[in-house]
Amino acid sequence: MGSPVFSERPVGAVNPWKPLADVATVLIVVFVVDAARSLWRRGNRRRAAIIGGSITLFLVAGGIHTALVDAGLIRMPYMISFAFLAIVAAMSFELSDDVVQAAELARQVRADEQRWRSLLENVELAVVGYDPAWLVTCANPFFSRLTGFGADEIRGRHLTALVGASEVEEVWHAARNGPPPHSRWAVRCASGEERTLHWSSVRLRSPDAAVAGVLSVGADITERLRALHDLQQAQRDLEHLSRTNLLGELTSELAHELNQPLAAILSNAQAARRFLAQAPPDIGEFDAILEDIIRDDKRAGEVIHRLRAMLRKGQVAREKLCLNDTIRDVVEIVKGETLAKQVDVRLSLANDLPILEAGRVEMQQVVMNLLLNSIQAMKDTPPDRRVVSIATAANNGAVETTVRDHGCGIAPDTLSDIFDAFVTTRSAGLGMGLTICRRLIEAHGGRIEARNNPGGGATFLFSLPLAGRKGTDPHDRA
Amino acid sequence: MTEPDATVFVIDDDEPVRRSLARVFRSAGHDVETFASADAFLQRAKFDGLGCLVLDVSMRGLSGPDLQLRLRESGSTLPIVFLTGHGDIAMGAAAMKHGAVDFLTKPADAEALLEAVARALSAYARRRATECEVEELRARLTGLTAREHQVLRCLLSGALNKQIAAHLGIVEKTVKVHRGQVMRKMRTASLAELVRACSLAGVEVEQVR
Repeated sequence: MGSPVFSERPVGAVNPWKPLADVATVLIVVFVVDAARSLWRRGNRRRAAIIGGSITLFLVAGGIHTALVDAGLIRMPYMISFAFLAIVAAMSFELSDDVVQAAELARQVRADEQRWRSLLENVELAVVGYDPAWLVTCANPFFSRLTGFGADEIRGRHLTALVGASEVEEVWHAARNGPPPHSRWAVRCASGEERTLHWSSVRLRSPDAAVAGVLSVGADITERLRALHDLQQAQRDLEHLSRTNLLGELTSELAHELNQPLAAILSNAQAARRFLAQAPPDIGEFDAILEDIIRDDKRAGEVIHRLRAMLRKGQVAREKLCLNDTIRDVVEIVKGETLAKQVDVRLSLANDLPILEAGRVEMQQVVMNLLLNSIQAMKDTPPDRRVVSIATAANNGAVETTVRDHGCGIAPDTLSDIFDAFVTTRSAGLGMGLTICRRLIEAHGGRIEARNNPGGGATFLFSLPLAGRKGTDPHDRA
Repeated sequence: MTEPDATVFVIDDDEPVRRSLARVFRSAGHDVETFASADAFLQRAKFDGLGCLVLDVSMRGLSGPDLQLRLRESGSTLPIVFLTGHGDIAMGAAAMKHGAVDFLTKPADAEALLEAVARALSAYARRRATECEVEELRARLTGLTAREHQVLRCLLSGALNKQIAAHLGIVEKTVKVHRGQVMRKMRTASLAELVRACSLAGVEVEQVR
C-alpha cells in the first residue's frame, strides 16, 4: 500500500473479506429493524422510532459517504466505522436499559407476590386450588386452621375426601359438570366436626386455554347458619305456643263439645239398662238407642281428632298424593252419613291431576270437614236436591278443589269471617272446623275461600300449590 | 218415692242429649216434654200440674239461669234441676241460691238425675199439698161471722170460755155456742187441730187479759 491513509482515490486491491463486512452490515440493519419493531410492539413507540431512526440514519449517512468517497466526488477518509461505533453505543444503551427494566419488573413481581401471599395467608377465607382431576394442589393456612389438617396432609387429596359425609355424592356430581360458580357444602374437619362454607369457584386456564384447575374461595357460614336455624326454631316454637295458647282459651269450649256426646251416651246406655230391667223388659226403643250411642261416640271421636290436629306441632309429614284419591277415601268414610242423610255426592275429578306433596291425614281432614259441613247445611233441603258436587282441576301450577252444596248457604254477614274461630252456620258446633281447614291449607302454602252460589247453597274452594311451600330449610344449597 | 203423674221438662240445645235424657226419665215412668231452647219452653202454655225442669246451663239464646229468673218473676214455682258441662261452682252456687233443687255436671249419672228429679217432685208435691190446705182453710175462715172470728182469735191464745166471756162482755153460754160453730165450720175435731190449722192459715192471736 504505502500510500497515506487519506488518499484521493482508493488504491490497491479490493479486500477479499469485504462481502463479509457487507453481510454483517445487512445483519445489523435487520437486527436494528427487528429491535425497533419489537419495541414498537411492546408499545414503546417513541423510543423505537428514535433508536431505529437514528441507527438507520447513521448507516445510511455512512453508506452514502462511503459511496461518495469511492466515486471520488469528495476527498475524505472513510467515516462509516464511526457509524458502527454509534450503533454499538445505542445498542449497549438499549441493552443496559432492558436489564434495568427487567430488574425493576422482577422487583414488582416479587412485591406483588408478597402482597398476594400475605393476603392468602392472613385472609379469613378458605382458599383451595385443585388440578383438573380435582386433587388439591394448594390450600391456605386458614383452611388448615379451619379443618385442623396440615397443608401437606391436604395436598393431593381428592375433593370428595374433604366434603361432609352426607354430601360426597352431591358435590362430586356437581364437580364433574365443572365448578359451580357458587355452592354451599360442608368440609369435614380433623375433629370430625363439619363446617359449612359458601364457596366461589373459578376455572383456571393456562395460556393455551386448557383447563389448568380450579380455585375455590370459601367463607365459613356455620355460625350464621346456626343462628338462622335457632331463629327459625324459635319462630316455630312461638307459632306452636300461640297455637297452644289459643287452645288453652278453647279448652272449656272443647270440653263442652266433648261432654255433650259423652253425656248422651251415658244417658242412653243407662236408660237402656232401666228399660231392660223392667218386667216385662221394654226393648222397643233399643234400636234407636244403640244407633244414637254409635253416632254420639263418633261425634266425640271427631272432636278429639280435631283437637289432635290442632295440637300437632310444627311441620306435618308430607307425602306424594293425588287429591282425587283423598277425596274418594273421604267419600267412602262418610258413606254412612251420606246414606243416612240421603245426600248424593257427585264427583267430577280431573283425569290427569298433578301429584301434590301434602299431609295425607290433613288433606283428608279438610275434605271431610267441608263435606260434613255441606251435608249439615242441606239438612232442610228437599231430599231430591241434596247434592254435594266435589270437583278437582289443575290450574296455573296449583290443584283446585271445589265442594258445592245446595244447602242453606252462608249468611252474608258471616261470609267474610267464616274461617274464624267460633263462627258457625250450624246450630250445634263450635265453629272450629273451618278454622282448622284454613290452618291446614295455609300450612301447605295454599288458600281457601267460601262463597254463596247464585242458585242457593255454598261453594268452598281450596287450592294447593304444586311445589308446596318454598322450603325454608337453611341447609338447602344455594 | 217417684211421682208417676209428673211431667219432666228437658231443656237442652243439643238434640242427642235431649233425646237421651228423655229416655232416662221415661224409663222411670215420667211423662217427658223436650225443648231445644229456653224460649221454646216459655212459649209453651202455662203448666199447672206436678212437674220438674231439667235445664242445661249454657245454651244459645236464653241461658238456664236466665230462664230460672224469668220463671220466678212470672210466679212459677216449678222446681229446677240444672245440668252443666263446665261444673262452674260460682254459677252452681247462684242457681242454688235462687232455689234450684240440684246442680249436676254432665255426663250425669241416670240414678243421680232421677234421684234429684224425684226429690224435686216430692218436695214440690208437698208444697203444693200445703198450699191447697191453706187455701181451703182460708176459704173456711171466710165462712165465720165477725163474732165467731173474734172468739176464735181469743181461743188461740189459750183462754178459757169464762175468760173470753169476760173479755168480750158476753155470757159464757154464748161463747160456748160460738165455739161450737167455729169447730164445725173449720171442720176440726179438737182444739189442737184448730190451732194447727189456724197457724197454717196465719190467723192472728188476740190476747185475753
